[in-house]
Amino acid sequence: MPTYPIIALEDGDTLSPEWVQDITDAANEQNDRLTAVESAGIGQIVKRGSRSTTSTTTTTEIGVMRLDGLVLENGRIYEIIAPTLHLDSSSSNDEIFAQLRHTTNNTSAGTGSTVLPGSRVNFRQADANVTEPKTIYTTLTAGSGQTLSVLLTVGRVAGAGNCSLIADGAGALTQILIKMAGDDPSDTGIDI
Amino acid sequence: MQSASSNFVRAATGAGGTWAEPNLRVDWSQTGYSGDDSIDNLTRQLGDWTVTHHLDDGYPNAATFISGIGVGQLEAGLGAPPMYLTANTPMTAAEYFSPFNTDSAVQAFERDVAPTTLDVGVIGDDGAERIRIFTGQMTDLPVRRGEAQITGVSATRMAMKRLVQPPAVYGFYQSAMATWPITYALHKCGLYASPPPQDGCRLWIPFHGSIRPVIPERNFPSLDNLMSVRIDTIHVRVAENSKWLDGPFVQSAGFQYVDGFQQVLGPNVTSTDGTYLEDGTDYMSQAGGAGKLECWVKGIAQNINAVPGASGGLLTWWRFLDEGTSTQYIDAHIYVDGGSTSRQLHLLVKDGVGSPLYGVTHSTPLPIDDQWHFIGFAWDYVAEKIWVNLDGVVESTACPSFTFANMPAEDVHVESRPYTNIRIPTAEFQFTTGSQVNPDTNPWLNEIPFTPTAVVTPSSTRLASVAERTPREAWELVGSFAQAELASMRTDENDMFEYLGLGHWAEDEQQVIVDRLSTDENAAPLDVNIDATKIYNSVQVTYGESYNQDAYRLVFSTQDVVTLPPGVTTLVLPFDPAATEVRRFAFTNIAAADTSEPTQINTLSANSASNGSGTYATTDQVSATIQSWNPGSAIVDITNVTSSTYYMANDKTWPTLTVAAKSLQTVSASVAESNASSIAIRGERALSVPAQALQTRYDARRLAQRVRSALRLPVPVVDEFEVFGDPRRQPGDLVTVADPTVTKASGQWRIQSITHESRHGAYTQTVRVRPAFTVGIVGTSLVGHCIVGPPEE
Repeated sequence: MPTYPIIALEDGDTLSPEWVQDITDAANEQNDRLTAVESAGIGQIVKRGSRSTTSTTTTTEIGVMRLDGLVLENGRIYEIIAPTLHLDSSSSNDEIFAQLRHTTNNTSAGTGSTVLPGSRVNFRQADANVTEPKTIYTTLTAGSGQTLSVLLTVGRVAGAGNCSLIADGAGALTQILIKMAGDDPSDTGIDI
Repeated sequence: MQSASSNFVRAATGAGGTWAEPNLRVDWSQTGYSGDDSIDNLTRQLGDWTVTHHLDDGYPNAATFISGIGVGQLEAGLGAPPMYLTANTPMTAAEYFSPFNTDSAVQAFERDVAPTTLDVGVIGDDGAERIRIFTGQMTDLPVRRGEAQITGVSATRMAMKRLVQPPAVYGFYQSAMATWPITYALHKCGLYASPPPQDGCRLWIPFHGSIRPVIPERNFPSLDNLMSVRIDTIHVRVAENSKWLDGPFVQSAGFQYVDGFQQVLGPNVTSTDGTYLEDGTDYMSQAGGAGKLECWVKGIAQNINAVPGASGGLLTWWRFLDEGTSTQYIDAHIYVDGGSTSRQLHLLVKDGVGSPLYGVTHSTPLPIDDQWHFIGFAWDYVAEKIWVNLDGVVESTACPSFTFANMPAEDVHVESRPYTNIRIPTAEFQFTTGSQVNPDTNPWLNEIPFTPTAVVTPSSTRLASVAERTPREAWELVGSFAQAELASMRTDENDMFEYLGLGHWAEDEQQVIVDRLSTDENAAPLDVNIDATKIYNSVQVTYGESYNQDAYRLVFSTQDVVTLPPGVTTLVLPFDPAATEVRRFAFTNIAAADTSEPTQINTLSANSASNGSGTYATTDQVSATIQSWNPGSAIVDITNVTSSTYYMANDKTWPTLTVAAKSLQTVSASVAESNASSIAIRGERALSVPAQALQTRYDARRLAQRVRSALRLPVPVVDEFEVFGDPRRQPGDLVTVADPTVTKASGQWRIQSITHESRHGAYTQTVRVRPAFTVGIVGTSLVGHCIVGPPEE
């Protein structure tokens, strides 16, 4: 184990074997640490789903896309993201929403499952059929022995039109990304 | 190797020539050499003599390779004087050098101060040519058994016996590379590796590893200028992140913006006092109206227009006497890149209300060539003229409508000091005022003849701060830094002081083999040995781990009761820890209603009763002021303007006097480095290396690694051996050694010490050499057997 930081050799210094060994040890150690991080999946997307077609139009909450069977590591915190969702309604001034529902007992999530905290986005659409992108970003801290299923849903809160999540596979895409972000540092926020 | 003519080389190396008579000269009266027929010429009395020169390698005593000190020394026998010096009356040496013999022309002179030189040479095709092998001063002239002997030593070494105490250098904001205290100590001894300050110099910032000015030297209550280091928009600690470049002479500040890293010199916004100046002649009043700014700047590409927070010029120095109305000011700057005035020197001067604004812009922009350029700005209100100077090309403008009467009677610097802002690599900044300023009748700084008396390679040792608590001998102070980075220190044959870091030996000039010492040609038989006593495979460096306390804390407090009679009572207060910036010069008086014990401010408890039960004096009655301070102490005057006696006392069990300052905290620490392969063979051999000059773990590890690399394996040593004399040889010369018949010694070696010797007229030298590694080449050199060198241009 080299002692950091490694001394930068200056002009006139003897190019010593120990210095070269320090560099070698440091590089190897960094490689080991990087390998450990990579094998643990930290910082990596561990599950994802993508849909390139528009969802069924609806006036109530319906499912759009689901991810099943993600075995969670106890104590890890996961980032769950549904980026750039194009919510749309056929009538102006409709209030529409998207959210994630989930289970952690290896059963498939449905529209009756628990809403993933922090996952709901909603807005009031000014003009009919003019979409407005919204992103869901939330986290989930895993408990022991959990397997995750997560369902992206869309629905109407108020109004008269039919709502949906627009996707065309080109400019618009419906996605769910799950990234493992490492150990949960725990909630230390102070409510003011 | 000293330089000489080709004739000399041919004669000295045995191709035809005889030794010329060595010249021994002393300047008895210290008024200059009086001529060959005077008492100053001791050549005709010269008998056997020796001169020694060593290269102090910086190693600890247990491991040092040399047997002497890095100081030139002379010993010479002296015989009877020629009769023309004794009024044609024969006189023995004992008579001539007797301090009681009034018939002797040298009787009255001191024997330990006269400048002394010794030159050795040959008679070649062009006559006698001599080379100086000793410059110094006489240290003694004893007579024993009727024979006189003169001894001499480097005058530079004697000059460096002076005690010096560097002012506080607050590395947290000013940066503090060890180069700064080194060249400061040399300056105090009259030795210069860069142009010294001119007469009338009121601000001298050499930028030798710190922005701390050398002039003014005294410690002020707050920093005037700060070095700002930012990475993009994030400020980072100066003490660890400042960048310094090789300068035109020694070192320079690396003020520049490169890839998100920016380093600038700017005013301390919390001080708003501008730049402190040494006392001197006014430059912006009727008492004096001439000033001159000079420095060297590096012509780097430096477009700062888009740099966060940047504005103004590459270098700006300005002073407004009447802030806000701008009726009288001096504004000297180098325009930023771009536009019609890109990188041009510009000076604007206005002398008061209603007067015209005069300006001069140099027609040539500062080149972009990565070379150093001299720049200067000057003004003279009386001569009604302003000047700018780029590399010696001077351009000026007459200012015929200047009205000297517009100027104030005196400069009032307390209220208005100049501001300085620099964003380009800069070195050797001087601001000068007085009668010697006008460039039409006086030389610019770059025109003043300058012969260096010192060579200093920049130190790589980074200090948290410079905070010497007590004065130290200059040689010892500089030597402590040399030992802390294995730099070589010596005085040379011309008494030039040299501080040579390891990097010096990797320069191209030092890779040239200048001599061949061969047993077949010019050397006596060699004794080659492995000096097993100098093998150390485990090195522990002890040092003072130091960090800056960038908050005001008490560095002095006492509960002593001191009587304060009417008048001034002066106290000397010792600081612990060492102070780097006192909070202010004034003190707050403790009052009866105070409830919080002082921990961060200067306070005085002045009470009418010695037990603190009386009334507390206000500052209008008894006040304290710091008259001067250094890192180790302060002189404080306590002035009692009443007719009653007060006492330094209170009834709160608080300190009666406190001084607050930012400080340098130091704790003893050590690092160790070892070599496993050497330990496996011979067991652990530990060497303890004290290096109190070091303040960071990083530098301590560097030293430990250097010592370990040098001593972990057996080093072959050629013991001192005799060679034919050649006065050009110097310690540090790279030579080849060849002994093809006996020891088979060969390869490159570096001369560590030379003893020049003359016995009965035969001139020889004894040298000591050490193996010299070559600069490594990737793919060719062996790890452990080469040194790191500068990249090829």
